[in-house]
Amino acid sequence: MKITKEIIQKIEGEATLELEWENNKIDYAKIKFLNFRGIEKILENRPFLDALLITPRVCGICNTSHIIASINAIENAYVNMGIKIDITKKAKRIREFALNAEKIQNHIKWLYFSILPEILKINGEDESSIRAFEGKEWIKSQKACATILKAMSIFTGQWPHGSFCMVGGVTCDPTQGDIYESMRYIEEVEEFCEKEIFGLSLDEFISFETSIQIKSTNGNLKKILEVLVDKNLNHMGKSYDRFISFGNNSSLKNPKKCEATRVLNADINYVGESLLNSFFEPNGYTYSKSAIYKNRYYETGPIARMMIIKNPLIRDLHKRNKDSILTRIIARISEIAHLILKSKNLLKKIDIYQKSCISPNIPYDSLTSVGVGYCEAARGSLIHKVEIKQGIIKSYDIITPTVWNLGNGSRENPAVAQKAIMGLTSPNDADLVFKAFDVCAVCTTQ
Amino acid sequence: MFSKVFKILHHPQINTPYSLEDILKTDAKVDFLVIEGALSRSEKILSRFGYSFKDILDILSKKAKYIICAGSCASFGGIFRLQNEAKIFGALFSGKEKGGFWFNNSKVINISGCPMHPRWFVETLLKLHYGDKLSLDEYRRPKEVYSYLVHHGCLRNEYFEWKVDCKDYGEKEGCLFYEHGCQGPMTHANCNKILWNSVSSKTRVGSACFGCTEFDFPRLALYETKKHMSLPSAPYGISKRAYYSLAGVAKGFKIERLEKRLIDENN
Amino acid sequence: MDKKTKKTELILETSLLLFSQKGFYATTMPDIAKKMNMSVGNFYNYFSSKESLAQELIRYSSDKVGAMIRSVNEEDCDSKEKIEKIVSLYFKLAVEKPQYLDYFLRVYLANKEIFKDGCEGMVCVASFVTEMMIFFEDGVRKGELRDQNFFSAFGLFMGYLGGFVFLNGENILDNNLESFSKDVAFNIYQALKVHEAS
Repeated sequence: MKITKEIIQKIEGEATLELEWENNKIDYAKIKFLNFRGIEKILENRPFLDALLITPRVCGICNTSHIIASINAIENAYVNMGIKIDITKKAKRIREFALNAEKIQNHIKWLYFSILPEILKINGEDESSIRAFEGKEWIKSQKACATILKAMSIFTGQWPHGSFCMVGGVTCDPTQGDIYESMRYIEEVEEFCEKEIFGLSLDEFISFETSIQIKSTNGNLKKILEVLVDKNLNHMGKSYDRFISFGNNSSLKNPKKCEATRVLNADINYVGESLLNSFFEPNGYTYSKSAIYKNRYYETGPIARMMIIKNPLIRDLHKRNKDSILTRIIARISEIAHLILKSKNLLKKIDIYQKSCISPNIPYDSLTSVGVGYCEAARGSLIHKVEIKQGIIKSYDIITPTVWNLGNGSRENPAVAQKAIMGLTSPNDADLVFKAFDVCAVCTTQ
Repeated sequence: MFSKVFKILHHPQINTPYSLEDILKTDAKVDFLVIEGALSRSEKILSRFGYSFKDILDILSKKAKYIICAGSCASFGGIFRLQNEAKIFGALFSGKEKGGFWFNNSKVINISGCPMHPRWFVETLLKLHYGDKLSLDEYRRPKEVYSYLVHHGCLRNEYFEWKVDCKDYGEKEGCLFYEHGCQGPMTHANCNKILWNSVSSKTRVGSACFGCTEFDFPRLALYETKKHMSLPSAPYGISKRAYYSLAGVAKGFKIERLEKRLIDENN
Repeated sequence: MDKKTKKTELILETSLLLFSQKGFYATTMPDIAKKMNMSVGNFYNYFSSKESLAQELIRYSSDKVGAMIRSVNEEDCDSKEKIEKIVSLYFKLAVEKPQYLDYFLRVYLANKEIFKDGCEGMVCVASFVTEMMIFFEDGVRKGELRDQNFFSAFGLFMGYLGGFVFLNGENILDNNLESFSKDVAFNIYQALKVHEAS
């Protein structure tokens, strides 16, 4: 048996993939995340509001998701102490809008930084058009990312690391003009996506029910689909075909899981963290913990969300390709269209005359409670748990999407990405499968 | 402009022409080495792609004409220094104290902030590239950016002048300095001059400035104003005597207009 | 100091003396002019009304007390010592120049209606209150004084001193005012100091 080490580059943070080969096939894969930063420990003994500022620093890409998960956990702690927290529709919509905008920029970046270069390489094409800082397409995609972040910053103050969430709502109090301005930016991004990614109007795209319809379009989505099918990669990277998404937004209110195509309720209380193979245990080799649901691994992220809400297009791809990289990649790209349309709708519905924030009437230091908060981040479900004593954080626990997808199990019971990699025949394939998960190392080793 | 002037040789995340190994092995010089994140000499705490970070930095820092510390972690240690203050620090500073990864290194320029504003970074690089004068402050930060205070250009300035506190979050009215931890009057950065994402800033959306460009970021109890005998610290460079006399006087007046909603649609 | 400023200061000093001897209401503007050997007409060139004179006087006496506390604030010593110095200087002032404190305690605090336009809040006593703010802020910052609301500390300190000066003025004390200085300072320090966690 031969062991090779692959450094996974061009992801946020650092990860190493240790592959064990048997008869030219990957027999087992260890996924190593090596830099530990200890945010959970840093939070201990601080006033609980500090978490709203510090947890977003886990990740420069999904910081908004962290502030949302954090405020949800804190508000849940109030509720668990019997204190009612009223959040107006306005505040809820602003929070969800910000979260959507963050996902949109993430997906566009992932598409242009991680996936398209691979697809062009596989297809033997010149990749100069998407070369960082130079390529025409790359520059356009960057502009779209910057524009969606403007739309969001009108409400969050800035991205990354806006601090717009407060117990009971949001800190901003936009004018109607602010909302129009934000809409103008989204429409610009919509135009980019229609022209470059989907090759037709987003409204038409979201009505698609079969993957064949994509063939009639003309954009990067079609290209990716065709290259993966042409090169016979459309069945690569299958895993457990089990999905989980905790929702907490207007598309999915409550936690659900999906076993192949069957959707069932899920309960956050069954979520566990395995320290298996982590440095927190003897003989461990990674700082990443693994998230499990009733001791089983589940995949989270856009594919999970789309499977759970029974999106016809993704369900169709799944019927033919199961949870392969093709379904995974198309799900993430498709989500961009849904998020843009949803966001426009959210903006239209914001009533500026509602209150932005209704602060609870009790002093912070009278809070002794525990809370769990979650939201759907770009890469999947993000969970924060906090234990507060007299206003001070006793413990804080963060379960990121990456620890659902890229945990380390055992040979007999591998985690989601490990299973997707096992059986592959080349490191390049392993790299592509990996990237289809939209790996984020920093999230994992907070 | 940036892409026409500069060539990114390597970036760990972005699709760039050279790998880290290529850069480590070459004899060629580079203009800029950009460091993100807090530093440590300990291999156990920080390594990258199988090399200890100390070795990487030793090699790369010699090749570079300038070392740009992008963000508060690389400048002062930032949040992650709190994990192990003895072993984790910025390039030249450990919090306020001189002496980080290096004790002296005249190549280092700090662009603190969590995050750093992209314009601070680009403008500094352009100045160095064109040979324009770049003056640095005592923390080796470009003066053109860090001589401003976040307070400059804050839309709530009038409430600060008249000591009108923000009554609750989520409103356009009131200053966040007295009760809500705002560090705008003592934080060096031009956030409210150039704005974030070209459109807004923390204080413009009713959240406090948390002093993320300063060596002591993040302070404990970020959402509270640290007071002594209910007296807040004076703004940067203003004596307590000057500030308290003015504040005491201003507080004595009740300015009706500032007690009302900014946009009063019923009137 | 120019001639007019000098003259103004003399008027202020004279008025303070007269107010403290004859009472604020019993003293008229012509009384002060007479004492100054000025014509009433000329006197009104300096102060157009008794109200404006009254307001200027409170600023003036606040500045005097403020300057005294400032001299203590600028010394390099701990809060305990500063309290001793402030109390001692305050009592000394009460004995040597009772008119300053008399004016503050008997006129300013008792006749707020005269001061409501022009001396709102702390406007006219800012110089004195500011020095007390600096004293307290510094003491808490150095970990010598217990952190509390400014006014609960300020009231304790100044109310106590004011009360003593009042008792002294009423000739109720059984000993001279300055002899109480040490005990009063001790009590104030005990009340304001940081308490070690028990």
